Amino acid sequence: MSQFISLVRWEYFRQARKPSFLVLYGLAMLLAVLPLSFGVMQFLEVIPLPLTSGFLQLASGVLWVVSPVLAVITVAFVHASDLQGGYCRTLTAKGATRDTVLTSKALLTITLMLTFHLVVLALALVLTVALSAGWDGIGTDLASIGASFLNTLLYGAFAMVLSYWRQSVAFTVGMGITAIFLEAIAYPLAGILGELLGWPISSITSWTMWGIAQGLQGESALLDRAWFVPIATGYTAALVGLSVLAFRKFDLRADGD
Amino acid sequence: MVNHDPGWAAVPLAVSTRDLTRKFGSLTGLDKVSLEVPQGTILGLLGPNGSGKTTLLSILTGFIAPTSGYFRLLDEPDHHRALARTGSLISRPVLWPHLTCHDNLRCLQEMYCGESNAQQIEPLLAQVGLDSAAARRKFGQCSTGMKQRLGIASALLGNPDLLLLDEPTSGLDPKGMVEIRELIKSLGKESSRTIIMSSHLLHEVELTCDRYAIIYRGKIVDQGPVKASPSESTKTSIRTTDDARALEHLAGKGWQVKTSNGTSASPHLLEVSTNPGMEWEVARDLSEIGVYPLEMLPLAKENPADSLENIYLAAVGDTASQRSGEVE
Repeated sequence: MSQFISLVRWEYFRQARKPSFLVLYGLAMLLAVLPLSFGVMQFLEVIPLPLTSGFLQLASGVLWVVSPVLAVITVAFVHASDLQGGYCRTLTAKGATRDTVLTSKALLTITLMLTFHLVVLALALVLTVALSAGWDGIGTDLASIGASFLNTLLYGAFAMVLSYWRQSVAFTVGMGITAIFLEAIAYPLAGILGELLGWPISSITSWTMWGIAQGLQGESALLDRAWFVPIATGYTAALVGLSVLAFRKFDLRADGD
Repeated sequence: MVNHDPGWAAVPLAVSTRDLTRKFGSLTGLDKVSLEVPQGTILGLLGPNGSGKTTLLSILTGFIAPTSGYFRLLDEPDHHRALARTGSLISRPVLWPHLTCHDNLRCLQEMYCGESNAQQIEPLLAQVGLDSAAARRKFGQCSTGMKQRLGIASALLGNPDLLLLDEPTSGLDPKGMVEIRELIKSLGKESSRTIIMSSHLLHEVELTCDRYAIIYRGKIVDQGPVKASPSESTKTSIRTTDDARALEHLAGKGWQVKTSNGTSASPHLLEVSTNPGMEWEVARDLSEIGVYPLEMLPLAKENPADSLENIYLAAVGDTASQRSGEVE
């Protein structure tokens, strides 16, 4: 157990010393702060656009957009870069099992994603209290933020599969983000096509990652929102399981070997 | 396979392998390698490029899995527990380039040993010849030699019972090579620590190791003890003030001496076999009978049949035309 805690701690130590890692999280925070700042200006009527939602709802919207991309890039940093550079050799050289190494990396990824969600949530709560913006729909907003966290873990797990499949940072980031945007475009198009042609396409697309995200937001025509919590969890667990199986199989090589 | 010392494995084994095989697709990297290394041994693993040295060490460290066969480290059934008592440097040091040398070791020390005592890192760095300025340098900015030294330092973390070093002097300057050789020898003397080091350099193995194993085309083709003393002798050509008396006297003193054809200018040359650097003893013996050397010229070195170089060449043969299809 102490080795496991130590692995997580030093995993963070190594990541936090990468300038690109700090830039990534700085940028993510900027993307979160900008809409909230815009909301403050709207609330204070600095700009002539009325604020139609609360700060918690704004925060939820930000998290749904930013977190999946952040998860993919974080997984590339934490998992794929060590696999590509051969640093997993160094991590396992003294007897840490591959499962332990993967779990410690996964735990760090979860912690980082959770921290990001909590910081954005805290920011929204502080603004709501400070500006006395009211608490209408707080339950729905908090549930949405929780669902966003589950969705983030799902995309993180998908990126893990990419990482352990090809052991490449570029492949993980490229394929991960492409999948997100491809789904974002294809999902509504498939819905329209299904309506026009009368095909039950939505019964298939509902089971894609984007479909599950829609379900977690309560926008699925098939099942209630609550059903998508175990479904998303099951998907995530299956994808992590695939990563574990992949990691157990391949040779640990150093970059250039 | 030749084993020049069949009864040598009577002490506890630090490494034992049985029919260890690794295939890479249609290529065979290791072919039924069976090797036993007693504790306290410094074993030199010799072989040409692509013979399977790195593959064998990578399997022992768990970086790659064998296709078939069995191996055990430090007589420990649990491989992961055995690795906790093993230090390794395989292929090249793989440390994080954005961390300083000091931070790399600190990070590994806590991960490996569950302790973070920065005071233990400085002596370790000093042991491999890295000063405090080098300790503050980022690993990615270090020279090849510095990286190699840090790799050895990382292998020494936790005071391991077994060290697996893949070409540990690779990338080092001559002074560095000597320092690391001396370090490896001193480490081997400490508390029955076992060291397996692979090398292309016969001389390095002769100077550092007490046993050798030659691996060729994935098979151990020869193994045995390294001769303790230099096995080479040299021949010296001598022209003296009285070659006939010199021949008789030196033969009487036990020198291996004979006349050679010489040249028309000096028809009575003698050839004396000596140990390297001991040619002056011939002159001293000749002076006892008032004969003095006029000229002493070193001739080609002689390698006895049991020299490591001859054993290696006999085991490996002419590899130049046989290297296709081999895996490092």
